[in-house]
Amino acid sequence: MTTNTQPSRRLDTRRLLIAGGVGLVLLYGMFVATGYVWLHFVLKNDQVHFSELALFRWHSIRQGMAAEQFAAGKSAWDAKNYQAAYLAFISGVRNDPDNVAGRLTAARFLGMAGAAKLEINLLEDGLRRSPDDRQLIEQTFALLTTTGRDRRALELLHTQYAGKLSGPNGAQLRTLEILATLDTDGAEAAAALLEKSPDLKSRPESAPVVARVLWETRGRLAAIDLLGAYVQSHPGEFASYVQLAEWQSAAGMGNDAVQTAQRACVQFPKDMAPQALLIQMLGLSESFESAACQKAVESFLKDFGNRPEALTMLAGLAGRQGWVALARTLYFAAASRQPNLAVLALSYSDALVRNSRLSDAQRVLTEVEQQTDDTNAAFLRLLRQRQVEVAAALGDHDSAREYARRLASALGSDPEGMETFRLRFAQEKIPEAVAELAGDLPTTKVVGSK
Amino acid sequence: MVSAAQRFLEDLQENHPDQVDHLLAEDFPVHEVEGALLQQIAAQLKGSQWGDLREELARRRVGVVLAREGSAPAAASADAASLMAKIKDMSQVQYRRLLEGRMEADDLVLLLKKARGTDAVRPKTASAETKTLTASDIVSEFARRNQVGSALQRLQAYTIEATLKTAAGEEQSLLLFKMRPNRFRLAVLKDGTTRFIVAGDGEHFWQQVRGQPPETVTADKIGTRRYLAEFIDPLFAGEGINFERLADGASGAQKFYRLAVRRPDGSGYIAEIDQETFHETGREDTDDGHTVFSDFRQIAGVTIAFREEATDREGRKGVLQLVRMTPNPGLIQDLFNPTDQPGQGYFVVEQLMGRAPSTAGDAKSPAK
Repeated sequence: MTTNTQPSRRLDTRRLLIAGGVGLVLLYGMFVATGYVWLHFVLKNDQVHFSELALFRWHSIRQGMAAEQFAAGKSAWDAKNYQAAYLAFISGVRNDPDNVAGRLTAARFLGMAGAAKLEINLLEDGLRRSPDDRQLIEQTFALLTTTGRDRRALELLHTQYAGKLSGPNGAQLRTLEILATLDTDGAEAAAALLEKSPDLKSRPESAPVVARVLWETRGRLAAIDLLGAYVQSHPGEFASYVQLAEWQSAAGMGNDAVQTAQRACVQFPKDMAPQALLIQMLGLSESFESAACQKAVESFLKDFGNRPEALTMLAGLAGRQGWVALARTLYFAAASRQPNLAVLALSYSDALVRNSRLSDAQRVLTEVEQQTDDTNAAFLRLLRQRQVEVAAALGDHDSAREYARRLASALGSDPEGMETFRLRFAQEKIPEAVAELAGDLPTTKVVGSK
Repeated sequence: MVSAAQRFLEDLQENHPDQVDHLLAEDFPVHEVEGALLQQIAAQLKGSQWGDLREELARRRVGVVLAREGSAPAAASADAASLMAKIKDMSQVQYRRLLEGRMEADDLVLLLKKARGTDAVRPKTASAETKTLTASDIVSEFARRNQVGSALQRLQAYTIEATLKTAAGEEQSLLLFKMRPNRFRLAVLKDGTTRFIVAGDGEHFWQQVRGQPPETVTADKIGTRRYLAEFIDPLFAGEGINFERLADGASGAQKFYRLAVRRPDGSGYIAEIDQETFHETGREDTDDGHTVFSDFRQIAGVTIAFREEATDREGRKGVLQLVRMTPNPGLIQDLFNPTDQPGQGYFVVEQLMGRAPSTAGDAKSPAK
């Protein structure tokens, strides 16, 4: 007896396969369509194409998403929506950690927001992924060497980059090594390193660092000449103008310093820092009361006076230079324009200190302290540092110790900050403050102290 | 100790110059200045080794305040210890200020009032309705209901930006700076530039008109503006102020307590306090003027009226609308002193800066 079960079973299997296949195609189509709709219309991500999703190009999709997020972060930053900017930048870095340009922008944002540690972590992580990117190297080491983290810079150079000092980026890396050595071990050690790399002396990009070594090793005029030539050939780097003008001023070349500042003003006509540099140099070469300096101040206020950061910048300069009248007037002017005056008050106290009006400065600091929120750790550091210095200058060692203890409290668990202040107070010869920050003495926690 | 004594004497010279000459007299009222002396000594004791002594000084200072309020010495001492413990629990910052001699006398009185209030059973609104409240009860309740915790203690200074529409229809911008204990500076701006500044500390006043140097003015000449020196509504502080409850008032459905508020100089007004919210909703002036307060908002935990409508005896109305109040902005004493610069530094700088719109601050008042 025969049966016809074979063809029908085959038919069922075939049907099942077709149904399964169609189901899978439908599922795939739904998945791709939903994903596209979600990314394109909900997340508003224009960089993601349908084909990328259809072909499961995850890497490409994430890159596209990251590009959108970096752009959104930049827009939010420009709009001063810092929370949104932070979220967008961090998401962008997570989605595309190899996007160096995006990472650098995110790092700059973090730096602007005062999150230096995060900025360093972000950049160092970038260096681990793209160790040969020149821009990344430059920005990371510039940050490390300008924030007192030269030892960390040397550590990176001697470990991660140990085998690359003679590679394609060798000259750049060796220049950075000399700079970090100069800051940590002094001019002699840096000069010795420079001797081992004579090629750097003729490398234009290394000129600012070579000039610094020359300056520190008493080759002052040669340093000024070298940096002067560098400024001519690289007119777009403002930091070099500042350095050159300061050196010229310190070497008694006041007119040259003023000219350097004037060149900076011409080169960067819309920036306030060059004008502040000009005021500083005019004040140093002539006097603050001189007609030229007063005119420069007027010009600065006319051009930038409606920006709170400009007042803060000029007040900071007045504080450092000891121009009490200007610091006070700027404080008064700011009072009618901006809600928070505490930083300007600190500048005023700086100016008073420079004029040996220590009791007045102490009073100003006390008044500011009474209005300072315990949670404002960043500002408390600035305040406490000054309180320590003023108390020590007044010979009130108990108060200096007390303020140093409160500074330590404000620093919390920030060993780098602690070390920076400890070194500062050691240079200023305030041993009681050094002892409080050293951690080698039992520090009494100040209950409820600011 | 020499430094403490010196500061004490300076303080005495500044605040009670009449008493300096009688310092060595037998009938010198030592108890009246004992607190100030203890405060100055505490301020000189820096360093952890003086911790116990500072606590003892603070306790004695509290005892002095209690004794002045009428407590027997033994009871005052015991109460002081208990109040110190309460202050410590309540706010470490205030406790520390007290220990370090950084707390002024009027602040201490207020803090003690708060510390005692923490134990007391809060009168409920219902009980306030049933019980006949005395002037003192109303003032205490006003201070409690118009701040969060001890918010006022933390307010050391503030800035107010406001617009004033005068009875004549003129519009002005006002900038008022206030700092404890009694400093004020009022700048009147028109078209974005300062026209006039008046400032003082409750006893000494000065004013400056654009283009002229500052000049000292007498309290009489400055008129009622002298009361700008009151750091905050007198109903909060009450130091030296006398209160008397008058017959209640009503405005439509709103019922309010009426309190006669009399300052030490004899001036005063009648405060109208809403019976439900305990906001000060109005003031009756001695010259038949009347002010209505509204738009109450909480800034740094303290309730502030953002709108004042003043009507004078002839029925003309002026409206003051607060735009922004910034608590503890970092004010310094120098802002309240006349400038010793020969030129017109501030005015010149202001002119140079032009009048671009100022940036919004983080303390911008919350939306209604």
